[in-house]
Amino acid sequence: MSVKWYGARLQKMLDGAEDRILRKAAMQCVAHAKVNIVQNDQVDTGFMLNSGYMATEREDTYGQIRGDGDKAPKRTAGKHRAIAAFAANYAIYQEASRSFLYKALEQTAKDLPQIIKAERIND
Amino acid sequence: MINAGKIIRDHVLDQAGVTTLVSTRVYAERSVPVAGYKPGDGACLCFQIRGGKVDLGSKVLLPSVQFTCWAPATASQRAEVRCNVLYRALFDALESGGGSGVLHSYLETLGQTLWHPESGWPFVLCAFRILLNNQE
Repeated sequence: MSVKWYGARLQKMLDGAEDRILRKAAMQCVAHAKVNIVQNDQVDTGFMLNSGYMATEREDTYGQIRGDGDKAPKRTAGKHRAIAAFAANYAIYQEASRSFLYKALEQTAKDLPQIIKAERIND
Repeated sequence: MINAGKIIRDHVLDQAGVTTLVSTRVYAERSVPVAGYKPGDGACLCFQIRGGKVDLGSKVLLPSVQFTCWAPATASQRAEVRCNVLYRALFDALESGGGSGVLHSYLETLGQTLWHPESGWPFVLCAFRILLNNQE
């Protein structure tokens, strides 16, 4: 009996799936955070609400942020990493007074099995 | 369920390296000091639970606890430097620490110096994961 080991091919598939899962998770995290901001009554001008963005090694949505507020510089993600962030320069104070992003991270962690399952089905 | 805020406050107040700096000015479930506080009153710590989970069939609580460290300037050091002195004392006390009701604790988010947008006072923002025994 012989076994053919498609290690490189498998690794390539896993790499692709991992990146897609991380991308979806980051987008989900930003979506949760936006809902949390509204529920926390943290909307004044709406700039912070609309300053949420995601970033992976290959892409980001930072350029889609609209509004006149001051933005923190874009955060970049390394290999096999994804970022969910809010660019409004005062967002950290809002997060410190009432968490919307950490809470979103926890909500996304609960969503992860479903995100992974959906990705496996798509493969 | 245990009173997590009280246990954490009592645990912090047991840490000599911290109380040397803040005395009993440790404020639970707050991100900013109590009304009327001024840095001239002395350094203080505020903390609030920002999330977390229960584990082992609810026998253990694993809250993520956000701390803000506030301190006045001294003759030789700016206020933001003193805030970081307090932050480091807090780190030394809580990193890999434990005590009555506290099973383990460790730094979750490194400290960051910020300036409060309304008062202009500096403070250091950081977070620890503190594992608590939830069996009264």
